[in-house]
Amino acid sequence: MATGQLGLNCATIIGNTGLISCPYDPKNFNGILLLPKGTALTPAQVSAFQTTVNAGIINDNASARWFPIGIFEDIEDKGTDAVETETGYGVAKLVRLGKYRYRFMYSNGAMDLHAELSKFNGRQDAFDLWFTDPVNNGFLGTASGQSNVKGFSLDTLYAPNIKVNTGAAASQYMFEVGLEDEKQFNQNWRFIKLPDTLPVHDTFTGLKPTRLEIVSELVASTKVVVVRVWSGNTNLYDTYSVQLATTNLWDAINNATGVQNATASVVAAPATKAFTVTLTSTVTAAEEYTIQLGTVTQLTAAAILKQANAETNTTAV
Amino acid sequence: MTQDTKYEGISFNTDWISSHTSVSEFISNATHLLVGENQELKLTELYNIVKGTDEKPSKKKGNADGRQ
Repeated sequence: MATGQLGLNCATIIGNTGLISCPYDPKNFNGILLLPKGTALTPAQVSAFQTTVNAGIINDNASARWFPIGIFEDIEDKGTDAVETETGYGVAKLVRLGKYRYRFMYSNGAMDLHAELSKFNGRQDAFDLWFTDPVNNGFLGTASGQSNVKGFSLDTLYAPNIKVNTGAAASQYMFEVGLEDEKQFNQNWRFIKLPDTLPVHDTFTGLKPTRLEIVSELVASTKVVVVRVWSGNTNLYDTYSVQLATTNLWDAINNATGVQNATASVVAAPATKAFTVTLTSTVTAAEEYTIQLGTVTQLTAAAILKQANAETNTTAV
Repeated sequence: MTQDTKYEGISFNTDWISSHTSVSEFISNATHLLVGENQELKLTELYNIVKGTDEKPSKKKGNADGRQ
């Protein structure tokens, strides 16, 4: 309901200044959690926070997936100061507050994590951000309406170029975030506290990247394609040779028609540490196929835990 | 999704094999699998494992691998 021509209800714009017994005092943020923009959590989802977050992390749909990032080891405060103006009589007036902006440093994950984080460059409009506070053991976000919570809106998100080992200092890896609306942090912050038995820094970890390498292209006459599965520099054959030799984990999609060519058989090939995948239906030379591994749900069901799905292309010969 | 059927160390798509209505139909669609000696015999055995039957190819007489 409108409150008059001025439109402001000044009676409600007050701050109660008594000190509460247990105020929230942020400690070192050692990680962040990126959620798809606008993802609001209900009280029920917050009550089951571990389940909620883990379900987000392993979401089969990458565009709906949640991304925990860390562990950060240092922070550079790149925030800006408030802007003031001075009247002719020397009175300082606040024009606007400064912006929150942080550059975090990390070493775990090194170039592999740097490569993955670089995929987020410039995607500040696609994600909201929660800070991980390991000392208070919880996540810092902001209010969304009367009872829901969400991550902070972003105006900066990127992985800066690395600083290479100088001989005197180790290589340095960084990730930079800027908050769009300081009011979300200053006035409307919300903290989700977890039990100490669920330490935030190692309870929630992201999916490890997966990459498929075509060892030999799809052969039309035999309907066979040979594929290696990598995670960073690790050949997953060494750990999951049995689990990955499962037909329902593998899919082949004809790029021209979009039609699936189901997998007839899979066998692990020890000599090449690869997987020989044989399709069911006719393949014609020069046809292009997308070879897919996963979903995340299928990988998890096959006891391949916290591993992302992946795909690559092959042209039939 | 049904669990794969293991045969000679290879994981086979149980659902796809089950979708065939006869061993002859399966063999005609699986000529690229288990290529080599006794291929038809092996495909028949694989089909029967999946189906839980003792069906033989209908188009030929004699042994399952084609020998008279």
